[in-house]
Amino acid sequence: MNYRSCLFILTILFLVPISLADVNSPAYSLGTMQPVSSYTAHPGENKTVEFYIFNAYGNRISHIVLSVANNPDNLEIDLPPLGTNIWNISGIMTPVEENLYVEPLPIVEEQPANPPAGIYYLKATNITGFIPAKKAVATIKIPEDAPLGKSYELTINALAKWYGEAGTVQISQARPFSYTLLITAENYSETLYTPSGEEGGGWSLGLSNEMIFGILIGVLVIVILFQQFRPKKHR
Amino acid sequence: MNSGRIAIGLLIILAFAIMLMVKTTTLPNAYAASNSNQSTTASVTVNGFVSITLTGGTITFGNLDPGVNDSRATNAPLLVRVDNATNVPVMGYINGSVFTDGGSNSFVVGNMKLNITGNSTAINASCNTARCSYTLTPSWVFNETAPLGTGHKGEYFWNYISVPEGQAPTTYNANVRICGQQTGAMQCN
Repeated sequence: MNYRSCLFILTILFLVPISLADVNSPAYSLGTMQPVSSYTAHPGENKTVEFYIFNAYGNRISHIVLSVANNPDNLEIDLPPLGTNIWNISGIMTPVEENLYVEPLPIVEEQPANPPAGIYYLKATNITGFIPAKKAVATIKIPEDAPLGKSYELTINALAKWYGEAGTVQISQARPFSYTLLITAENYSETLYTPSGEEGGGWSLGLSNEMIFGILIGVLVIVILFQQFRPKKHR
Repeated sequence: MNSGRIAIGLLIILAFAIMLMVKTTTLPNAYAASNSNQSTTASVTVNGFVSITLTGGTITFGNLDPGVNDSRATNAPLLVRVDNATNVPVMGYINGSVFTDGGSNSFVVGNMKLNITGNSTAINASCNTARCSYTLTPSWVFNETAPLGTGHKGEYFWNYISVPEGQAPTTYNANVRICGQQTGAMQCN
């Protein structure tokens, strides 16, 4: 065995543990996709907004807790139910409070014909394949007296936590989802608004108020002039 | 000539003039348009993907003496990686909780500092800007642009801690939260 062969074998021996260590390193991933951030809604509507959470690059289950982070108008918002699941984490039964959890699911080249329940396949613009994801839906109750034209701003926060960490400092990830809801009427209507405050409609003279006033004054002046210069009848 | 009849005649002429004015201002032209432009709207929404992965996600400082300054974490640095699926510019914020033993002993998370490097080579905790310190409120730490290309963009977070003088001997735990947001569209809090 020559010098180069020995060097090659030594290199392989050093590389293998490093590769294994890298594979076994915990990777805590939080991926999200928000398809729409601006909605229209009408007074009294229960508006649903949605976003997706995926775990395509991690190797630990992401436990997700959702909360309303910003809601200045105190809208009534229903999130997916918060519940307590019991997880067997390395032999220890651990109660975990979460709205949903997302297992590590790698990117797939093709969408399966029979996708697992609750899994959606997302197409990102800059990767090949599809990302398996779970969908979170929030329902926002629009007040009956919500003024037309008003924009409501709100933020829903997703906090991802992982278990099995051994350090003195625990790691978590957060992701905010901001929404704008513009209040519009439920049915379409369109009428001409006039400066006098009355909504016009139907046939229009096409004359401004000033023009009509001027014409009436002109008529009045002509009538008065003719009355003044009318010859007197002599009986 | 009867002036009253003249006045009536003028009024009739005036009425015709008004009708003519109305006609010219409201009725459409009888000619067919030589060309016509109409428009409609088209919209498309590009979905915003944000994916961040933390590798080696624990931070352990081991056993330290009170009064020690800038002692580096004993485990590998925390790799914060913006994944390939991300298709929007991403800003990252970090904050932490108070170090506590679960009882009455604690010290502030500001005793913990970080250095952020683009490679896995450690450097000393020399950075004292807001970007390099933990606070109770999120502070900006990284800003990655999109598209991200073929490789992951990542930063190594090297963590350091200083233990206050006279700190009671016990085990202290804290939480570190990393918040990633689409630049300009969301708000970490």
